[in-house]
Amino acid sequence: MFAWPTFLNASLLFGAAAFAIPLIIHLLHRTRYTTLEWGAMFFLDDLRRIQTRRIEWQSLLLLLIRCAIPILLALCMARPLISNRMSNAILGDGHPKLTTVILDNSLSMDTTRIVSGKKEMTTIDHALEQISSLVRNTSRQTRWSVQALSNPSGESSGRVFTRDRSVIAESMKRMPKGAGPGNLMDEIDQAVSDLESETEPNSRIVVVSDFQKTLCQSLDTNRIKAFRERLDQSEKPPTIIFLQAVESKNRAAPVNNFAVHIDPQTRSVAGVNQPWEVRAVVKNFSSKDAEAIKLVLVVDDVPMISKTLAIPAQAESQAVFNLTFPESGARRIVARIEVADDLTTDNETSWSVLTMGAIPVLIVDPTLDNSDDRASSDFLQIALAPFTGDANLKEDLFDVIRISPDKLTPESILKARIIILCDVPKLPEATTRLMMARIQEGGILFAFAGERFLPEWYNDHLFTDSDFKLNDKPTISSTKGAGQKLRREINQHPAFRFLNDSRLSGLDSLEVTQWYSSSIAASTKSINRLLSLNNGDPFLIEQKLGSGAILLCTTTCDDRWTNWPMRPVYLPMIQQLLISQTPADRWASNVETGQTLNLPPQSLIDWLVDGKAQEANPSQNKTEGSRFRSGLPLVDSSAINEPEALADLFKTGSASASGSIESGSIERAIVASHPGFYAIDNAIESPIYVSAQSPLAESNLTLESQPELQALADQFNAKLVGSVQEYEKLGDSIGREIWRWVLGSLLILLFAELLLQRQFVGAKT
Amino acid sequence: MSVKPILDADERDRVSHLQLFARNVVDGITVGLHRSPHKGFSAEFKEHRPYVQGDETRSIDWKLYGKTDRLFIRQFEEETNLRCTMLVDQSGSMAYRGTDKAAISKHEYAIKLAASLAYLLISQRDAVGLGLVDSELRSFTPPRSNPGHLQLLMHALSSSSCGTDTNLSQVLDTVAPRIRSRGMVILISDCFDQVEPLAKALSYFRVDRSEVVVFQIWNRDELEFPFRRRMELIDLERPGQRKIVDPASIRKAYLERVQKFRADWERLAAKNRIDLVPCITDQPHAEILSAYLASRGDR
Repeated sequence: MFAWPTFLNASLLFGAAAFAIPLIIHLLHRTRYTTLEWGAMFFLDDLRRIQTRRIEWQSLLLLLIRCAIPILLALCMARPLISNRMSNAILGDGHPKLTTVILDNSLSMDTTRIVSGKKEMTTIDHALEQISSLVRNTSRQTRWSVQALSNPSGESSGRVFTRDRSVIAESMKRMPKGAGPGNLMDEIDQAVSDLESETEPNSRIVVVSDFQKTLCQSLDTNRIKAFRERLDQSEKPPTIIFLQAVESKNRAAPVNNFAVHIDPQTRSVAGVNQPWEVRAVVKNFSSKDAEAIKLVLVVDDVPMISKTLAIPAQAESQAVFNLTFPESGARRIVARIEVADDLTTDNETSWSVLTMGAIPVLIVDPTLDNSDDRASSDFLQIALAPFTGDANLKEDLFDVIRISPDKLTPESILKARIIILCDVPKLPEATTRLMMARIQEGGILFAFAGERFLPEWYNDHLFTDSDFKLNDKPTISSTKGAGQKLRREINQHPAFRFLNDSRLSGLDSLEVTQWYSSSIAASTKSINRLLSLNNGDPFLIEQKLGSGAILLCTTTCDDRWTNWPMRPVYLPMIQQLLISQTPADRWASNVETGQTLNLPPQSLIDWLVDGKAQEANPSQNKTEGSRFRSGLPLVDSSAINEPEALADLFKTGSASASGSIESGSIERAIVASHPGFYAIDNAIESPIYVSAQSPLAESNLTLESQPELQALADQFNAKLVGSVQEYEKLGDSIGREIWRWVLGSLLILLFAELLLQRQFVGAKT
Repeated sequence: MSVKPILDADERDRVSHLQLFARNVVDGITVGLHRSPHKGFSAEFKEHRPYVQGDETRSIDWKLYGKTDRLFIRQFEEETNLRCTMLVDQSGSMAYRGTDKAAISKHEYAIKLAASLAYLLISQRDAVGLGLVDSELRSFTPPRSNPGHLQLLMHALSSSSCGTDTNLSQVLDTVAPRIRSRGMVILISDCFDQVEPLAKALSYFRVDRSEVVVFQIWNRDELEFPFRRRMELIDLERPGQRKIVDPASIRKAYLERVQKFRADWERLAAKNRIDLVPCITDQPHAEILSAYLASRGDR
């Protein structure tokens, strides 16, 4: 079918009007000849008729050539594009010279589906076959680049285009599969930039995907609009093609899928021999009820616990597992379901846990030496070490030492990770400096107020920031017989998220009768108000200092000014608050695919090293020989899912096992593109891990319906094709620049004009 | 009362220039003529006449002198009465002088050639007449041999101007009755007419035992057609008729036609014993005349 050529600089076509110039000159000069009075007309009489006809066609030919010259010049400058089919016919090779493929390598592409009505294969394998076919059937002059939608480098590190089929085949072979959802918009944007930096004017972006509903819905309409505007302004806009890896007729076919996911609220830190709870969610995405899905929890490659779940169609079920870990270190937790479904990649998921040994806590309490048998810190000690002396093999997360201020030594400060000042009026200057240095390195200082408490010293030495000032005198509740209650608000702090649960009624009975009010500048960023009283005075504040933090409770740690220690919520609040301040808890060791991986901070390494050192000399409180305690039988051992697809990426620069990131060796941001564990080598003996989980929505294999997909393609101004055959039929719609040919014709015409001019109207010799 | 002179100053100048030119030409070619085998234009004895001073001694009839002791000169038929009629073509085509406007036209060349011939003939006491022709006979001066007749011829020649059309064969038919037999007819023309009829018309003079000489005048452009640029040709014989021609495209055909025309002339001239003398306007008249006279002497 004939297709009119299009032009990159169509406005320059107006220049073709210059064809009128030779026409006008011709008409003006038509009657102008050299005249000569001639006698021998006798010999010319019969020649006249032939001569006249000859002159006419010669003149016409010259006129046509002269008119064609400005037209061709204008055409050349307008940079015409002709369709491939036409250029194939005329020029022999009309395929685009540059094609980049964006292959959706997300989890959903691992789904096994029926292809071409007979064969069952994973969608990504089918997509790779499609791409191979495209490459094979295209001109050898076309340069290709095949890029995964989700890749670990975070952003596309620039495409490499090649004509070498073996290189393309190799890159497809190494294509990492089973990744988390990628950002299609970013990738297309990057592809356009990469194509613009190449010399070929004619380019294509081919997106090969199953076009899962979640992927399509994640595309922001405004960004698509901005992208279209960018294309409109581009000098050489690429043609965008959506190639469906799942054929149109199979898109609505039901698929059977189950997915397991670990609740993101699960803690990433556990204490040695402390109870640790993990919640696994299993979702049935199929349309049939499942009677018995076996869920297995694997710890460090060892199957530990299993549960059998009944899950109705399109519903989810949760299972909670309780574990304790006898040793400190990094733990790899894998939750796996044993079920035969169409997508197996999401049948297991991972979680990383850092198990910490007992955290040394130093409580400084001036009332310790009192003859009175009660000390201010008694409640606190119980809250931090509730199992001290318990014969039930339970161990405390905190290793508490209490000391009076006058007995405070540099050694005791250096040994402690957490220092709690219970109503301490002030400390000597040297001790304060040492303590502050310890906090800078990642330590935690927690201060409680009381009668002895000297706000001035705290203002001058701990909260040096002018944004925060404690009042000189404590405030006494004006309500007779009752104190101020804690303000009920949605708490985002990780330590107090559990308070958001309204079932915790104990919080409502918490009252504070006396406290130190303070002023906090509204603009401050260094002071974080964690909890407030109903009157707006801060109850608990946090100030970051280096790698560590200073916490201040404006009331006492015992029941003198508040009934808090008498409430059940006291213990978890204190424990959670201190755990949340540890570097281990602040480091994101469990991320969602697509997020950037962070290396552990130095303070965490220090904590882990200290913890190991402490384990080498275990205190008498610890019970030796303890093991995972589980009443359930062990299940078959199985390997942990490593992100094997990424093995090649991490090989460079590291002599350690593949799939690991050496601390400090990676300068660029690494994105957790694939679910699984990422091992990080560090100063401690064994690696620690970051785990990435794919979002549960990625396991929803519902595909975008054909009309909606067409609408999406229209938004991108993309061509939607269902198969390689349809792709190949697109030849007509994609043009090829032919200005060189036009320029060649122009030069030929100029030369011909010169020759004919000499031949026909040559000067008299 | 003023008397109008017969010739005005310009005409007198033109006549005297023409005469001077003719004399120069003829003097140049007749140097040493008495030594040459040239015997004049006729050799048929007619009568004796008394010797007068100035006659050539070789013409004295020594036998008669022996008998009569008086000097007589042998007079030959036609020697004194050679009646040469020059027909000068003044048709439009003779006005062609090429692209150089300062160059001599074929007509001017013909005039000068005719003047030279007249001078030569009258200096030999032959009678010379002149007919100016184009499509018809424009003027005719019967042959005379007296020296004063030369002036008349010169005047007639110098006042000649080109007309338009040519129809020589027809004109020759009208001229024929005015020309006595056994005379000499000299046609000075480009002969741009149909060859056969013209040659046939000329051949009639041969029947009257007249000698026919044709000086065929060419401009070199007409022989070579050296033009390149497309041009508009204005017909000199048919005013108002113009033709736009592309020389490159027609040169070959044109030259072929010219070649054929010349070949036809040569063939018919030989057949009818017509002396055909092609002249090109860039050739000196003396060269043409001496070559022709030399060729006559050879016969």
